[in-house]
Amino acid sequence: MLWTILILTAVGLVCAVLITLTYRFLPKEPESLKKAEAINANLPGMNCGACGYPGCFAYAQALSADKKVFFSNTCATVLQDEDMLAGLESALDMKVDKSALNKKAVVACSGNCGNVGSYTGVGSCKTASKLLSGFKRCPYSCLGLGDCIKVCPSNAIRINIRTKVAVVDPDRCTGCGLCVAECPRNIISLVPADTKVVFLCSYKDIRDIPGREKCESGCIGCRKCYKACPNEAIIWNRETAMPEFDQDKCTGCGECIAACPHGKIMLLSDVAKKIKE
Amino acid sequence: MSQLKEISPGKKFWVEFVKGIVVTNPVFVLVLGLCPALAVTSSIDNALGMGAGVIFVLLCSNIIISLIRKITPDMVRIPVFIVVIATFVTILSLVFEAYIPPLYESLGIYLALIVVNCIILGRAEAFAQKNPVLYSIADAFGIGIGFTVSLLLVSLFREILGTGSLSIFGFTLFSIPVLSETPMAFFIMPPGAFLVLGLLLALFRWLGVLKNE
Repeated sequence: MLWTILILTAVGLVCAVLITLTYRFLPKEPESLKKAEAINANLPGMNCGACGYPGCFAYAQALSADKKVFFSNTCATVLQDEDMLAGLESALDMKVDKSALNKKAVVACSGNCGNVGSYTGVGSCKTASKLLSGFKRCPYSCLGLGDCIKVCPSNAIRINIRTKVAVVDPDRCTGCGLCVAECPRNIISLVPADTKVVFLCSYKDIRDIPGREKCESGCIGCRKCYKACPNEAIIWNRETAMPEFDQDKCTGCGECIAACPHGKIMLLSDVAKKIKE
Repeated sequence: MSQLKEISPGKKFWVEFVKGIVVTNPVFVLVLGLCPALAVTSSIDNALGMGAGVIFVLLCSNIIISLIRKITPDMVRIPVFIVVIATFVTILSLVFEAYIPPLYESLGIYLALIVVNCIILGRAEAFAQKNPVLYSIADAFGIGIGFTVSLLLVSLFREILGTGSLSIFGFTLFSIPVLSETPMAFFIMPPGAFLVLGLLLALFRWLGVLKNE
């Protein structure tokens, strides 16, 4: 009994000495890692990877190296939560202008392409898009069966009754991006909340530009918007034969909106009107 | 946290104790310590022995780790925890070998494996390291009893179905006439452990869903 106690005590002491030596002589935790840990405490910890880093801690390490990462790879979850954002601001010692980082989802389709046939199957875009790539004539069109509505946490998406196209109300959208991931046609995208004009067509296939006419209001690549812009804010993309907008130069004057023969360009602030047009 | 500060220490002791049995039950809610929950639940005796062992180690290690929490450097905390836990497991293992050899035989390697049981290391890391001794004792008792109850529940089903009778410390409580002659030996085997534990987990998850709704 006594020997057992003595041996156990001796083993414990040897271990204690070893641990102390290890603590003394092994290299200390680098300062940057400590800083990253402090930042990590203010992150959601869900490791979703939406910021573009493998997990919250990798994101925290990137943030500790360079604060600007927060603006290029914004964590949308932190942006929604006032307390978390305040904590991160104090950990990073900076002020975040929330309005500039907010994003809004936009459905890049305005319908009008007509149907190939009538679809009476399961009421889900995913199922419908598997069947002969959808019942709409345009393969890049919104099917309007509302998969995005089901995932939207802020109830911001409606289907326009006339065009049967999903429309995101920018006033309600929080920019979480769930609908972007859900859409089987990949026609929903996130744009910065201060975007002035948005373009509402996704028919990116250049091979049959005349084919784009199967939609009454598809972009036919006429370049009228490009020529009409007084600020040189429209960049013509030859790959897709579609305009792209330089949001820094764009003043939202509306010349391109007036010039587009198919009404494919719209002010972001007007998108909500499409719900009831 | 603000809510916890308002209640008295005695009440908090009670809250931490009850929490470990139901709300954060180690096996069915935290899903920790599944290795012993699967391996030693073939009879009620084994489950009781394992539960008692875990309560002892958890209690002692929680007390010690809570006492030294302010002088333990953050960087080497895991080795320190392991030494503390390993010491108590060695004591437990020696005591079992000396005084209850049959239990020692049937628990076998799983007794020594308490060292790496994630319940004990998990409580040290998540609770004892951050809380005063009194609450750590409550937490150890709560989690330990929760673990024992879970083991008993799994072994109850396994022993009754697998042998057709129920006995504690060699004393037979009852035996089911037909089942004890042709028992479902499958439940004593490892696959039976997975099946029973899986079904119980599913049952508790379902009850939890019902409660939330």
